[in-house]
Amino acid sequence: MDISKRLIDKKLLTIIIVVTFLFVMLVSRLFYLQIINADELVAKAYSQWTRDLAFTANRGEILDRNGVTLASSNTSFTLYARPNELSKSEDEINKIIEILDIDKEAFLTKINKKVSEVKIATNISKKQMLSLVKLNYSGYYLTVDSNRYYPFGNFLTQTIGFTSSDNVGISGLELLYNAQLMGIDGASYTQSDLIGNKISNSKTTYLSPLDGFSLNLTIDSNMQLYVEQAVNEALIKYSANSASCIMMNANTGEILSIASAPTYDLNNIPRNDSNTLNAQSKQLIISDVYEPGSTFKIITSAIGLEEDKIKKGYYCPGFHIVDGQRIKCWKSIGHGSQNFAEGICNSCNCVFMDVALSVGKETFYAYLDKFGLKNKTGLDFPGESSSILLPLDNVKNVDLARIGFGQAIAVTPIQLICAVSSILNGGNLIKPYLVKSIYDKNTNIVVKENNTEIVKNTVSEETSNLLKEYLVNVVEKGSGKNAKIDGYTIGGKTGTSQKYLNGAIAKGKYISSFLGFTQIGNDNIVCLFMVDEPKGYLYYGSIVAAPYVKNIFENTFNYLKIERKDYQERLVTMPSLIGLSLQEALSILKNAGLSYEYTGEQGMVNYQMPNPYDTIDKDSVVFFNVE
Amino acid sequence: MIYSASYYSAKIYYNDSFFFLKKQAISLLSAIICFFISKNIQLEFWRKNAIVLYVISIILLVMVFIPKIGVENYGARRWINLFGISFQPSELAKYALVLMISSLIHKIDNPGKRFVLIALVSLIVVVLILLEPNMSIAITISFVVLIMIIFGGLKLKYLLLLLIPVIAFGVVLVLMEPYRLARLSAFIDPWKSPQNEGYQLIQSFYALAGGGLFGVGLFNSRQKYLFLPFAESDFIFSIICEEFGFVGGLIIIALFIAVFIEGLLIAKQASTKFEAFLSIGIISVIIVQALLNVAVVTGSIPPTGLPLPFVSYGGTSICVIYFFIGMLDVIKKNSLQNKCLNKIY
Repeated sequence: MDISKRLIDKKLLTIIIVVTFLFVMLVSRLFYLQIINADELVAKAYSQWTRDLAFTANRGEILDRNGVTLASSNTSFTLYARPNELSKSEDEINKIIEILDIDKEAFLTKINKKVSEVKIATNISKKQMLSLVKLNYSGYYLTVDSNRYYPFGNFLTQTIGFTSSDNVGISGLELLYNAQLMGIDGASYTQSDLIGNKISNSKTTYLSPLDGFSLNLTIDSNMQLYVEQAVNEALIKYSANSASCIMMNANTGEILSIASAPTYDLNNIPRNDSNTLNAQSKQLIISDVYEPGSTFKIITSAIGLEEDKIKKGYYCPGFHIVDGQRIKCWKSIGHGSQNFAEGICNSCNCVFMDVALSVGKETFYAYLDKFGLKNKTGLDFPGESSSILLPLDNVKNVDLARIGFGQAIAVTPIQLICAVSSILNGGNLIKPYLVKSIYDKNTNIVVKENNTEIVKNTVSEETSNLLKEYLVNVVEKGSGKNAKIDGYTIGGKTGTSQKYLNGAIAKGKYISSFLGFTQIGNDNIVCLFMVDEPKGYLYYGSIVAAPYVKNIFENTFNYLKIERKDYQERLVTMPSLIGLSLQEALSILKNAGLSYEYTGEQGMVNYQMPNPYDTIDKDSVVFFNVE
Repeated sequence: MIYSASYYSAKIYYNDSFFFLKKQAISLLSAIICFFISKNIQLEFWRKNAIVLYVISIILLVMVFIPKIGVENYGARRWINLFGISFQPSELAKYALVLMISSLIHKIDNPGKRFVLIALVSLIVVVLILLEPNMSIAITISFVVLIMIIFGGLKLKYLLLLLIPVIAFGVVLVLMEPYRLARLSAFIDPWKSPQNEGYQLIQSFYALAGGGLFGVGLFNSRQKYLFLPFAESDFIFSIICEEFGFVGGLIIIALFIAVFIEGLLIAKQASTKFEAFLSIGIISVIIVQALLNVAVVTGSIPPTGLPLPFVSYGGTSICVIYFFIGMLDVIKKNSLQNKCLNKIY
């Protein structure tokens, strides 16, 4: 008995140890779950313990360089009800349908649904919201929604881009800066059971939304307006496929305006017609390449000047023979003898074939790289394309000759305008940009600021000045005279590019363009205007595109109150006519070269406008009365 | 505690937040009556009538399968309904088997014969319960039988003889019923199927994690808001740990260990072999079940439905426990009397 008893004792001890050991293991498991891993699990559990309603954060605004709002967010409210928490009294129902102006039947159906939550109405105004809040009925919940609104509608459409119905950027700056614009949604959390019933006595927690950051663009909405008007007019006048224009500060890289027509109203996006939507959302200046044609001669000229390969004189018989192949000048009877400046003025193809060939393809290609024509410009915009160049090894002399006057090479308009800008600003290739700064509207704290960024140097100051002079000459006397504005210095170059269809030149299809520039203050402003497939016989850039650039510059000078450069020289002093006879007055005015109008015949001048000794413009008309 | 865990679901499902509490109060009352009845029954009676009780419980187990008397619940037939009282025969069978084995150990000295008989009576009960099916109680019983056999003195070859077929059988069972396999995989990674197999376990984890060190306080459990199924029965330990925290869970476990040691001390001082084994058996039932329950709730073993002794909601379970606790009380009294007698002589 004793032996078996001792055996049992030993076994008892063993089993106590075993059981205690098992419990200790369970306790450590418990400790792990309750203490160590608890936070992670509670975070997971939180979503099921609470029911949440979202408060949509306001998407950030988009403004122009002067603070004009181009895209904003409208706040509206949505009303939800939790049917099992409603009193459903007649009085309550009537008041709510009165405030919201909704159908009673539909409302009753909604609140009698056997669901935990039902949406009663959307797009509730702030006023309606306040009346609802005043009623203080239980079981109703409001959430804040945010809708995109564009004050100017069809304006800067491709650049701003559009958002999905959920306020997510789909194209343009809305897409590129979506993360910054979006903000963080807030929510209300209510403790609830498995089915979503509110737990009595539990509190509802509100988390306010964080609004998105706003964008300050480099765009000037006034200049944008001139450009928008011009492209729309050109589109209609020439029944063109499209018309596009970009205006840039050549010294800083700020894009002042950019537009393509046709396009659509951002407040009425053609979401159901995806073909139109896609085509009209394209920022052609940035996303499409084209054969630049004669505007490219600016680049060839710069390369020739830098490399000192300009000859004293050229002769154009109407063609140039390269490796036995006859390449025509645009003027089949030829330009005859001319110097380089005249060659630019005449836009003579033969001159630029000669320049390109004398530079040689290796050097020429090295310059293309210098001018940034081999890479994207790095503009802050989605969907930028890059140029298409023949591989250097494949370039024959005929090809090089054509590249010289802007054929056999395809670049994006933005690449071309950046390359030309570097020539205008004294040799700095700059990175263009659309967003000046990203900032928090509520605190005015600037989150990010973009500044002028010089990528590399292209040409010398000398080349820059000389070429600018030549290009001003083009507008003063040459093919660009349709862009001439009296009293202002405008330079530029026309371009008429052939279009290709399936690898062959498409007959009668052209892109007419004009690249113009002027100086405002210390900055060179450059403007490229393009019309894609103008209909009719008038397809030369000088005729189709140049007048629009003139128009845009004129408006810009007025808007910025830029005075004519000969303003001082044109001032004259108004002579005094009082007391003179008609004959005497007329002879004084004729001598002074002033135009006039008068009333009366006999007697002496008793009234004159302007007053004697006023400073007036010599073109103004003066008036006097004889009695 | 049951009230706290159940009032919300009771209100939702039975429109009476006291539903479970009322039922449990009645059960507890009956349990106390059971305790006093068994306290006044001499153990000699149980020893002599163990076979009778065993046979009765076998009959009841069989009755589960008789339509109209057996009640099907959650895809298993575990309940019978007799004269308006419904109860789980398996709860009774656990203890009847313990009695039977104890009396066998007491009566038969030949180890071989004794082992065969024990194995036989155990196997009948286990197989019947498995047929219900009620895997968890079958496992509990297997463990209890194992403990009793070990205490009874057993050669290794016999043990292996018993264990090998049991393990093989277990594997077959798991493969037979697809839901067991699903539960098994859910145990390994409950997040794989948070809506199905893993749901209960995840909800239990949420409850435990929500409790932290000191808990959210009585009545403040969030998981009982219908998230955690069986919050008042099989998963009551989760709710305890949620409302009273890790500390609360620790106290419950400590209490079980105390009960266990007390039971073993009673066994040690028991005056007869029968009494000793009876108390080992009873206390083993309680402790094995408690261990398995806590292990399930903490996701330490594959989930299986098993109430936490003394704590969980469930009438049969609590009545039977108190009845046998009454027996332990008698055993203790006997041993004290014996000591006194020894002293006198």
